[in-house]
Amino acid sequence: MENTIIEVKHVTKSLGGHTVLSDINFQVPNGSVFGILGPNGSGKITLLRILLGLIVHDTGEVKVLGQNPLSMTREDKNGIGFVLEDHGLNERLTAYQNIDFFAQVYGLAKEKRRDRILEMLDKVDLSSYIKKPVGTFSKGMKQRLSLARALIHEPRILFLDEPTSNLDPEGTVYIRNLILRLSREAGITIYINSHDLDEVERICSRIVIMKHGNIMLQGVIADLLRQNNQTTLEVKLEENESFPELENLLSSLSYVSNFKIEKEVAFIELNDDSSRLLLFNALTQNSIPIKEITQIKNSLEDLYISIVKEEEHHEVQ
Amino acid sequence: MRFNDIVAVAKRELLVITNYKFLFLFTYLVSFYVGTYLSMAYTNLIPDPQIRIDTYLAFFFLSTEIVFSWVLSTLQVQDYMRQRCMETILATPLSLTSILLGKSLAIFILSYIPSLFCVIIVFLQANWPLGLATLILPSSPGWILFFISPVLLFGTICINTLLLMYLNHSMGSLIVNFSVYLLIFRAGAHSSSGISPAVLGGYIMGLLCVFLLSYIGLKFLRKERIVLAL
Repeated sequence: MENTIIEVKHVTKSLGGHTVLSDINFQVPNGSVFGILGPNGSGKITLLRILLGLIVHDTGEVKVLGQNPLSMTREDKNGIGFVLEDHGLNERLTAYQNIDFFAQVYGLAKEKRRDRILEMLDKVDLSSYIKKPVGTFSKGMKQRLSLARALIHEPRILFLDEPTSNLDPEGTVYIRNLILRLSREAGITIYINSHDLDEVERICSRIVIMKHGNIMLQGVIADLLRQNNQTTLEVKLEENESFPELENLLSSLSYVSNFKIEKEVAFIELNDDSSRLLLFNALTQNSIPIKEITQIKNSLEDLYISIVKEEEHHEVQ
Repeated sequence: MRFNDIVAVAKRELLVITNYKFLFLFTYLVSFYVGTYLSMAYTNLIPDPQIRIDTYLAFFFLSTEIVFSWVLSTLQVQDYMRQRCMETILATPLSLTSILLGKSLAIFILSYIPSLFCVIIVFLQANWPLGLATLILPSSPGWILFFISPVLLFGTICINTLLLMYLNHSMGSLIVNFSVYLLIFRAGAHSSSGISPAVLGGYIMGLLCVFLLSYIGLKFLRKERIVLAL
């Protein structure tokens, strides 16, 4: 794919005799916001370290900006920005000193450096904290400063590891909006490692769901939700006495994949969206007194849990 | 490896270490005391007072800077571990050689300059009121230590930093420092009567060992090794 900025092909990695990544394949299109989802120990961090050239993969091929991260030139590396979970700032140094170091490392000319640092600090609303030691900052401020640090050299791709973990709601919203702004306005490709489903659903356009070093699912979020179009209906009846009758009916219908009755409400899962009409007909033909039917929208969380649980079910078997 | 990278790393290290003001001062006082004690112990038996004072000065200089550099290297790497900055720095375009040389350069400057300053004060004290220290080349064997010490010191700091990055603790660097001490003081004990080829050969061998170890260490050091040790 010509428009691909990250390419991972058949990558495996073992650490201490344990397979951490197993045959990983995916591509990240240029300009997209890409999310890697997975529980702790799923291999997300190892994968990120491979993409940053910190760890060597055992087999397969990895390309970031068209180059192997291990043999990248300085110019290629200048196209990459990153914020790891440990923000990488020295708490004894001031905000300015911390960013100035990275500006030097990325080769920013001395005369440009100061203006660029001030511009970045202004962008993350920290311009009044330039001379304050980072140790006095809140977690949200450190995260914003890390983003300023990662963007100081105008990278083409930004890797973020759990960008909103441990932040208060205000800080979370700020970082989310900043990420979206970077993607829309600056056209930066953003790669996010996260286990926060809500965050990924709000920010990312494409995702990979990982578990135990394997890719369980990948694709565009909207498509995945559409493909996994198991429809869930919430049904309330006029008379509660009719629930046993409804239970008998639902048990006999082949297009009903699952159902449960809780506190005078029936939750009915259908195999697909088109079965809604069939169910409605069956309910009216059997004179079930319907009070209200509501369709519950599938979320990424439902999809994620169904995948992770399905996997656990296979493991038990 | 770029010179600017080494300077950038060294500048950051200087800022970080000098930020530990109390610890920095305390370390220096301990190094000064240890340096004074060890130098006196080793030069006490030299019969000629002029050679004794000159050798004392050289030993004092080396002891102080080596103790100081070891403590600072440990402090520096521990600071990295605590602040968890290492992984971020390793992921930048900086090479491992630049990181190592930059860190070592900062420790070298912080160990060498204060030690030299102290030696100058001690020398002036000995020269003016006592009229003992003249340091006339080549009669004083202490001179050779002044010439060799910066190179030896820089090599030792490099090994210290390498070992600390490899092993994530300071035991390895303690062994290296102890070995350098042994080398200096054993050679010093033989140098009380003047510069002999054996003493000179010993120091040159020591230097070669230090740089060979640094080279081998750097050759086999991988970012993965450091990242996984963090």
